[in-house]
Order: sequence, then structure tokens, then C-alpha cells
Amino acid sequence: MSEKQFIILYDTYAPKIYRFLLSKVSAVETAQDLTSETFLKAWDYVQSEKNTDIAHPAAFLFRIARNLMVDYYRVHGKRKEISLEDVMDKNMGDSEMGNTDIAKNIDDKIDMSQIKDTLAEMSQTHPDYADVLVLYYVEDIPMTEIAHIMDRSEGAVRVLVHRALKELQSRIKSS
Amino acid sequence: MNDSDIIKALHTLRSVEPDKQWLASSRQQLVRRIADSQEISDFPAKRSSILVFFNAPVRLSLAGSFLAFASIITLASAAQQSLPGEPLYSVKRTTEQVERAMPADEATQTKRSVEFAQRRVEELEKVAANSADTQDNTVVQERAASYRKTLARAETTEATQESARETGVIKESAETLAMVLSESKNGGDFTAMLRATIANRLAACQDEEIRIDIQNLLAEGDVASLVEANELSVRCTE
Repeated sequence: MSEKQFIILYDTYAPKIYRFLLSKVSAVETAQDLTSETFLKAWDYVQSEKNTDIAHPAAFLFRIARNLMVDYYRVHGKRKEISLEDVMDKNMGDSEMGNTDIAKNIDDKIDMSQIKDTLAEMSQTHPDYADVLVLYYVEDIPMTEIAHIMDRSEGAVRVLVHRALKELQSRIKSS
Repeated sequence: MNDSDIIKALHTLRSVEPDKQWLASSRQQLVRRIADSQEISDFPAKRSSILVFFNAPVRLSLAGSFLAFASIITLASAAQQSLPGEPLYSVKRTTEQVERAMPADEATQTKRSVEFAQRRVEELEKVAANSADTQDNTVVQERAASYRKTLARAETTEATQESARETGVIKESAETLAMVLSESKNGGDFTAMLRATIANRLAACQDEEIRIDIQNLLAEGDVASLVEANELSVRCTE
């Protein structure tokens, strides 16, 4: 993989890896640091294995990110509750939507807030459920790629998505 | 709220974007790293053709660069022998993480998992052998020996979901013990630190029966019970 191809990989996947990591850690800075580290580690690997094409780039990068998360939790102890409020506020400010539909923004924000809180809870008790929901529904990663990321068969991932969705639904209903 | 509403709500998370300034500066950092590594890797290919045309000071400078490059290789190689708590251990783990992240068929993945677990057990044995407290060492080494036997069986028998899980539990349990033992050499209390680690995992353990077992073992308080509780806490959160 050439350096140009790798930079394209960064441009394509950096926001996805960042969102994935941000759904698990409390601080924006931590998500940023871990995202940078994911790509530096990935490049180190690409560099050490010359002429090797990465067959599944999404799986390759998300697996590194997940492993970094495991190490992060090992060092920093148990998972903390997610805090996306500042990011959401900033995004609303930066959004191209501007003030065109304030009522809709407020509705969206309520939905986002509820979803992110519930996902954060699930990250503590069922991390695989939270991971698979973010990968599949937020990042649009295909089942085959998720199977590589999570070391499971495609069928097992399909079942996991189904169960995770039910779990999320049940938690939102009861909240 | 039905499935479709939940999925729509999940889609709203797509609007979370990284800060553009950070994204650009992180990209720059990556470009610099790539440029640096390209300079290093280009050097050996060029030197044979151009080295003879340089005067002595330039050759000396190039020789210095070559030595630096050779040092990096030696560093990576030395890291493979490092133990938890040692400066080069992070280099070793980084190499493994990348290796683990590579796509592979099921058989290769299983082989890798067993190999990594064996490395953790080996590290645990070495850290325990270097540790000052003989009582802790004996208990830990007995557990390491038991892990080694289980992994030897996993190597020779056909992989199942259960054996893969067991390998994962051993890897994590051995790693935790080695790290805590290693930390305790720097003046920490092995028992207190192991308790804290177990308590952190206990918070995420959902199986009520295992939770009670862990709490009972913590109440007993001796090293053997804590080692057992450590393994149970891993089992419950795997």
C-alpha cells in the first residue's frame, strides 16, 4: 500500500474511527488521541509488511481501534459514561442547517441524547452489542467486515445485530 | 418506538463529526510519520550506488544513519524478550496488536490466540520468578503451570468455541497477574492492586452467581482466593 493510498484510508475512515471510539470514552481528547494512534499503528504495520495490500481496510483499522480501547480500559479502569453533549452542541453550531429548522434540531438532539446515553450504558454491560450497533447502523460497515472486526461468523454477527437492537429498544422503552 | 425508529435514532449519531482543525493536524502528523519512514526505508536501496562518490565526512554521516537504523531493528528484536513493566514491553504489545488485527482464516486466528496466551503465561512465570514475595510467587506459579497445561491441550486438540473462550480467559488472567505483580515490584501492594482490578471487573459482571462467588473469594482474602477471583472476574466479563 502506497503512502497516498494510506492517506486516502485516513481521510475515509478517521471520522468513523473517531465516532466509534467516542461512543466508548468520555473525553473528546481521548477519542482524538486514540484515533491518531490507530492510524499511526496501522501505518507502522503497513510499513513493516511491504507490498501487502490490506484486504479488509475497515476491519484492519477497527480491530486496531478496538484493541487500543481494551488497552485503554486496562490502564484507566472501568468504562465511564459517554459525554457527547459538547460535541453535539458544537456540531449543531457548525451545521450547515443553521437556524432553518430549530424545532427539528431540538427533536433530533433529544433522540441523539437518549440513544447515546443508552449506548453508553450498553458499552458497560454488553460492549459487543454497543459495538455492533455503532458499526452497522452508524458507520454502515457491511456484515462481512464486522465479522472480521469481531472475530465472528457473518451469521453470528447478524444474530448479534438483531439481539443488540432488541436490547436497545427494550432499554429505551424502560427508560 | 419500533425498530425503524431506533434505527433512525442511531443514524442521527452520524452527524457527530470530529473537530476539523484536529482532523487536519492529525493528518499532518501522519504525513510526517510517513515521510520519515520513507526516508529510512529508501536509504539502503540508494547507498550502494551513491556511497562511493561521497567524501569521508558524508560517508561517516551515512554510517551514523545506518547505525541508527540498525538500532531500531535491534530495539524491536529486544522488545520481544521484554516483560510487563519494562520500557520495551509496549513495543512488543504494539507488534502483537498489529499482528492480531490482520485478517486471517479461523485456524490461523486460533493458532495466534494460543500463541499470544502462551506468551502471557511465559511472562507471568518470569515476572513471578523475579518477584521478592515467595508466598505470592508459589501461588502464581502454580496457576501459571495449570494455564500452561490447558494451553498445551488447546494446541493439540481441535479448536471449539469453548476452547477459544478458555484461551482468552487464560490470556487475560495471566496478563493481569503479570502486570499487577510487575507493578507491585515498584513498591505497590500486590494483594491490594489485584483486589482493585477484580473490583473494576466485578462492576461489569452481570452473572449473579459468579458475582457471589467472586465476592466470597474476595472476603477470604488469601492470595490463592484472589488469583481464583481474578480468573472468575475475567470469565464473567469476557
